[in-house]
Amino acid sequence: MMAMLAVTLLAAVLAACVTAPPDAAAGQTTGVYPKRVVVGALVSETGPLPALFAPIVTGARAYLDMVNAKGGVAGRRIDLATTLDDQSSPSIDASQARTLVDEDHVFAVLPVATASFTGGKFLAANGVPTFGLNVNPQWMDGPSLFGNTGSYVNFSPSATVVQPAFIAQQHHARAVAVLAYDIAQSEEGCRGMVNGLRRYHVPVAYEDLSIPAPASDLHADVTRMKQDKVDMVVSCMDLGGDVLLSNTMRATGMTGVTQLWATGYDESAIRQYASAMQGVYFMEPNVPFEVTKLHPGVYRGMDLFEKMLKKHFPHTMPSETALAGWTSAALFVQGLRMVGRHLTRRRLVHAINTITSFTAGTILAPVDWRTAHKSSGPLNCSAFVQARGETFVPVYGTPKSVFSCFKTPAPPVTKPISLLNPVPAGVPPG
Amino acid sequence: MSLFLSYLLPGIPYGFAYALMAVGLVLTYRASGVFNLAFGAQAYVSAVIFSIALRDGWPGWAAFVVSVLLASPAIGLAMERLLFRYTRTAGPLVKLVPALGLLIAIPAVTQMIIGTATRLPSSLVLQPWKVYFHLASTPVSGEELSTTVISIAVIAAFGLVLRSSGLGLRMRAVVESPRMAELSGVRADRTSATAWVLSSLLAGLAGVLLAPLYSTVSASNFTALLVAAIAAAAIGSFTSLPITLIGAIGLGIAQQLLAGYLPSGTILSSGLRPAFPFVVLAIALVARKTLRQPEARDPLASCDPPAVAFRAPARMTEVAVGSRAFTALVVGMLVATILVLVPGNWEFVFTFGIVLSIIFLSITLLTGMGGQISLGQAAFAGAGAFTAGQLAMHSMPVLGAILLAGVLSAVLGAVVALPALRLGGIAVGLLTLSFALLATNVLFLYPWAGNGATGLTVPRPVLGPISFAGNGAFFWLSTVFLVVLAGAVKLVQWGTTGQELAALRGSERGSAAVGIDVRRLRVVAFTLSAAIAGIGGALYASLEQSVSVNDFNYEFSLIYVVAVAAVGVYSVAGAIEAGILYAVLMQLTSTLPSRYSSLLALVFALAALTYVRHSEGVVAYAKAWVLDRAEQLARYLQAPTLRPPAEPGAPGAPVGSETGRAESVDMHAAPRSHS
Repeated sequence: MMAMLAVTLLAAVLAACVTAPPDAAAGQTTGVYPKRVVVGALVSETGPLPALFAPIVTGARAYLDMVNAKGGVAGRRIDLATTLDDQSSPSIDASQARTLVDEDHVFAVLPVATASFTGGKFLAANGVPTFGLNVNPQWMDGPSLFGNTGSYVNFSPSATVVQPAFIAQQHHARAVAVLAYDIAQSEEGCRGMVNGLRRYHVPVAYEDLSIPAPASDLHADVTRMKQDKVDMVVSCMDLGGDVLLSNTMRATGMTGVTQLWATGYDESAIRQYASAMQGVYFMEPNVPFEVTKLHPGVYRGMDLFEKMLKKHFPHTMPSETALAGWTSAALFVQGLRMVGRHLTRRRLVHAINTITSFTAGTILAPVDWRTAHKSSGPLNCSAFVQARGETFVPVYGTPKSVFSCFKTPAPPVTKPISLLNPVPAGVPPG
Repeated sequence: MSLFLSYLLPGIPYGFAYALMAVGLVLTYRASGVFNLAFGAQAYVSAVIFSIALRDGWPGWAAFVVSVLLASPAIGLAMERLLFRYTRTAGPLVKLVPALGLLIAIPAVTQMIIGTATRLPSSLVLQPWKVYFHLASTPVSGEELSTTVISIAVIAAFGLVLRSSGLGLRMRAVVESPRMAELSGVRADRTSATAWVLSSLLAGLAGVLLAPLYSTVSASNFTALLVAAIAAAAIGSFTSLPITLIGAIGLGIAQQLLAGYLPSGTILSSGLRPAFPFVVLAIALVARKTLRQPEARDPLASCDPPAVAFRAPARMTEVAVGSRAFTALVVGMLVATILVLVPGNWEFVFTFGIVLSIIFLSITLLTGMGGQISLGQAAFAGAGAFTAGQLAMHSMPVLGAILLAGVLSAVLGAVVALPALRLGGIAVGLLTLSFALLATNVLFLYPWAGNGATGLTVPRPVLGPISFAGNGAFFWLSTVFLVVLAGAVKLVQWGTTGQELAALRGSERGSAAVGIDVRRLRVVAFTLSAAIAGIGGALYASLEQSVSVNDFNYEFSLIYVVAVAAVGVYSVAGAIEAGILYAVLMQLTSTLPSRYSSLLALVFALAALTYVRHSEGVVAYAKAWVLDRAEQLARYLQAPTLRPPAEPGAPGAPVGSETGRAESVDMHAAPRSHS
């Protein structure tokens, strides 16, 4: 009785059998053709937090379009042929990763920005060069996975992030609240911040790292924060949750609170939610976008990013995620240039893993790819910006060195110490 | 006291928004007998339209008119006129499945039209976050003020219309008993449509009012709103509007107090709050006698003729044998192709389809054979998956863990069945949905269970020297499980239990009257069904090798029921077809742009809308149609002379359905007899 269904399925199966591209040739490296290299993207375009991930494709496309306009690399254009949506589901993520490799026959997966990266295990096991936003621990699964600022993601209970402690000391905060979603990236990211605050003896008065995403009501949290006389809030939620938090604080009369948000550094966001974002700090792993206006010509990589984004995607505002796509594509292209014409996955991975100071053209703090799969390096650098009016302003840096860097692992202390003078380091001007 | 009030007061606007939805839900339910689960989706659509209109520079009043006064009532009217007016005398499953389909389809269509971009909500009136005054030292914001005042005004106006106008009188009459109202000259049909329009207006208003309290305009938030509204309606016994209003406000306040006083950062504080309304619902369902058979309160309900029982059409031997041979041939070719030709990811897809078929078999047994509505099958599958994961973590062989997962899920099924013993129809569905919500919001988050969003790792099984680590080997293992379990379900269907379940599906009172122990039968059905779902869940976990609570979200329970009902809920073949189709469509739609990511759910949801006319499922209906044509052809070839039309009851003649419409069905409900 299943004949009709079986006939339909048979057709689907046969269709699946003939999905190899027409210019594939026996013995060739998968996805590498005489005049092009095929890559595919894996992105959480739908689900609870799509705005965090979806713009990565725009950034990657802008970089690849720029490279292709100059003739590609070693005579090959880079063809971002497929973008698959994992719908923020772990099981679909793994399935889509297999589809990219087995059915779409991509050479590399670029860019990746997903809520959960269960497909990483499969990609690592098959040695598929993979580039993207490193917010999942799976980026450490193998040497072929390259996160945008290194592949080391410390989700261990002892992970320590010291930047919030730095801001807290700057503002002499007496009671800090830390809020995060019950999603691994959000929860673990903020847990590291709690550890950092405690390590430097900043009082953590309130902690809720299990808010269901997306946030739907924060009255109870804010009321408790008010009770605890919180004067600084660290949030690892998304923009929607952060705006709701800020608005709820206003609605309950909680004003004058220093805020540090993990996400939301986005020009279109501040235009729309300027009142909710006033005074909020953001810590960025890259040079702030504002340097292109404040110090034109100093950070040429960022100048180029903004120029190309405006050229290829005139309606897209610069954002952290789009920049992650750009820097991921830059690393891929740098690797392609190092390998040259005789391109294989193994050669590309090996070449990238010899790079000692990758900055994506003066955009990132230097990444040493010899060690960046397993450790964060001796310094953990961030550029701080603050929302003022309808724009962001870089703070705590100098025009030639916007980064504030902190030693890793953060040295343990038995009494309060000052983080007022972080180790000066930064991207050398371009 | 001040702290208590600062927790309590913000709950009031939530309570009023719940009340708007709950009042609409009660009104629709009493007027048409339909438990409109799509109310949440209607609220979502209104909120989306309102946000987009304001973003595009429309004046607030114009955005309000379009989103609340036009869009939501129009959707409600369309639902009533095109769908639910035909289900008045149908069974609870026929009413529920299309509502579930709409709950899934409306947000999916909306997403396809407007895209998937995140939309931050806009406020209706006042400056939403400005503090306008303090009440007992607690600041009251514009959002809270506007939600409360508008809700009170609308509910008061609504109450006035119901109490003092002719329309209100007619509506109250229809709410009490549509049949009695018709005997009194009231056009129940038209009044029911009016009730749908008004209640949809309330849903749209609730959506627009409550949207700013969420961080984004997302369908899931409004499903949660619906959940609270259902609980409030249950407090009012699905009848009393004043008690519903009080219950809704109480729920809103209780949720805020829970969030305030439970220790922060714990599973209880984050999980119990969204699940709390359904805890209330579960308690109300079990404790209040009036809720146990809510659809049977109309004093003239028994005037409707009972649903016509299904029967399988007897096929000509040539057609039956030919059909089976053709099936065997094509299935054989399919399996051979999967194992030899297809890329690795398609091998995985078909294995996923087989595993899903096993989970769907649990719905066939419980809902198709026994007529019991369960909206918690994904939770049973999750229980199996996490049991297997925990046992595997403690060094138990994975195959043994999979089997033990079935046993534990069976126990869980029996436990859930106990409070359901005294319930009937939609009430059983709501109880199982509350179990699913509790499981995904609380139970599965604990490290000893599902370990929350991080989840568990479940390796592929090894049996002595045979490893099932590869996708090909796991395909065979899953196939063996499917064959064994499908055979077991068939044996149940053909045996005494199956016959008793068929009787239970037809009439619970009739079954009891002929000596069937209905309570025991229900426990058996839930236990067997949960065991099958648990084994399916454990296999799924081993197939994926890592699972988390997100894989067994309560929304999957709804989609699973819709998928099986759409394809064919009465037969084992229907479950397998639904499972494979689901997996294949999921793969085929995975490469579409993200705004079409809901296409898979939409396909099944739209198919579920046909359940009103073809409760045997669209695939089963299509198969019956083809076989009917084949039989006609065979008859023509055998005796090429004109024959009189077949007598009723003869092979190939139309038979009745649950909706009372004449149609030909093939539901494998009993052993076939071949002429």
